[in-house]
Amino acid sequence: MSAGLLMAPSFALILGLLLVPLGYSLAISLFDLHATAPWLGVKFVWFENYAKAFSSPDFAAAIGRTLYLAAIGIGLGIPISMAFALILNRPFKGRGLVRGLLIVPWVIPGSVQGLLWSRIFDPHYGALNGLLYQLGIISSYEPWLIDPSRALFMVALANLWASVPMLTLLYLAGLQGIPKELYEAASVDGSTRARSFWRITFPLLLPVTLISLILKTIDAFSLFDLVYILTGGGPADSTQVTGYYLYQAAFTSLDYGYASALAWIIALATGALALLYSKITRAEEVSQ
Amino acid sequence: MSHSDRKRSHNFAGAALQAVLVLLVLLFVLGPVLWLITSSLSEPKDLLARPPRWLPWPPDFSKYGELVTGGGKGSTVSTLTESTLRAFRYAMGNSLIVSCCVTFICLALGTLSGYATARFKSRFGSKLIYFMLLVQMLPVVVLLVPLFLILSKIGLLDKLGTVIVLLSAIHMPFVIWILRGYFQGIPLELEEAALVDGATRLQVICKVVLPLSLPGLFAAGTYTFMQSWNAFMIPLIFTSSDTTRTVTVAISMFVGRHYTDYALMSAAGVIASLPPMLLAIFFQRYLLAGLTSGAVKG
Repeated sequence: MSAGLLMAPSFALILGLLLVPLGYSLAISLFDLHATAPWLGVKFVWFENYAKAFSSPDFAAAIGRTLYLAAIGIGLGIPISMAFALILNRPFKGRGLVRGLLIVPWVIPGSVQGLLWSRIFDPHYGALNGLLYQLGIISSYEPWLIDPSRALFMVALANLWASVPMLTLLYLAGLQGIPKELYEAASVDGSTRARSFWRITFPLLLPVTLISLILKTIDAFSLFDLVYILTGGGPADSTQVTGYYLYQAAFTSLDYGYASALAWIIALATGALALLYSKITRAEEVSQ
Repeated sequence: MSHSDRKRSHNFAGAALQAVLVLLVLLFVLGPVLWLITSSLSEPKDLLARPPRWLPWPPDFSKYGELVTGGGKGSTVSTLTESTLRAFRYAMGNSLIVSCCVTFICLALGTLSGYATARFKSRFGSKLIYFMLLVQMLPVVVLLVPLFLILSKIGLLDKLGTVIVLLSAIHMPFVIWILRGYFQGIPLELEEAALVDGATRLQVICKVVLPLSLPGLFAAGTYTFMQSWNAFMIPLIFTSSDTTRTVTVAISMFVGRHYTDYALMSAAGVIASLPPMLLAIFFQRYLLAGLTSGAVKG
């Protein structure tokens, strides 16, 4: 039996449902389908949809918000995950159990996460308000998600909660790859703990950090579930990230050509990041 | 204070600090989930208090009863809730069907492809797999427009089968990738011996290769089940009725309706998280090993 025959069924599925649609989407992106005015027919418009995307202030704002999400995911997520990994890397009773519990947020479906955070951020009965009020930090309940100036930050926090444990596991794996002799040699030389961290741990974890940077950026461009459930892109479009903007262009405005152009712009950007990611992980594999 | 005493008290302080830090990590990771669970066990008036009553005592399990059995005879559940509860149970069933089918398809077809790319050395095969993994890392939203236009033209919208086939295609590359890694680790001699004895390739795969790669199958299977159970965008776009909706979409509708039975909503969230959670706990060892061997897709 040949390799081709064994591979045929799954590759047919992938070809038919992933690759052909990608190609079809490229074609659609060059047309105006007039889905809301079908009597106008289908019109070939060259790169008009792409021009529209690049000159659209809404799309630019959506990219800005996506990068903001990525920046929070990286700027807060990486230091927190690294600290968590350092804490969990030391020996203590029940370490295996605690490490196991790290996957809990990742396993919870995105829509349940949305439900959970909508309850926590609830302006009238939410846990965040209740907790901060009880601790005396706020004197009255705050409308966290209804305020356009901080809704995106709240979404970023919810997103951070789900992504930190996974990054922590990556850092834990990275820490296990660092030879103990390095620390012993450093402590013999009279190096302090902080010095050992900056001279040994931090530089040797750089590959993990680089991978996390890329993964968090790709994740920000994929974010949809949380935004759909928590805010629906609002208030006043303040949480409209690229994933949601594309969804609305396609399924609310029915502007299929424009949405396909957006899809290709996002695909090329994330594809380049994914390529970088696979280059780095393959280089890691070879060096190990 | 003797030297050893000082050392012991220093160790004690270190252990106490470590315990506090570990507790902080646990609070971050589990705090929100614990609130969901305590909410599901609360009476409505406890959740409407300011600040809420954090620890419901005695715990009220009635919401779980309502979700599982629909309130039953003589219950006080309103008709609106009654239909919501029925839709939720239907959605749980749909999610179970979808996740099981996707897992089966991905494992069966992924085994064949994983084996072929692991055993028959071809540069083209390896290149193809890397390309597929790249495609898989693209946001799903990118595929929605063309798939929606194609499937609506041939009348395949709002069918459970459509969701199953789409999710299978989306998760296939990663399954092939994980299984390929495991198959490459199996000594060729074992298979050659079986081939000499007159076994066919398919028999070799079923009788020799698969039993030796159970950890890989568990890892890939758990991953696929979880990802298809948690899938949101695909069922959201491609289903539109109570009979085809999956549980993730049903949950999103709970939130959208400005429903105020928070305890019921929370209990639904807990139930909807149980299948992937139990599976992940059960197969955790394999899952983590499998995930660190490849891309981590959230």
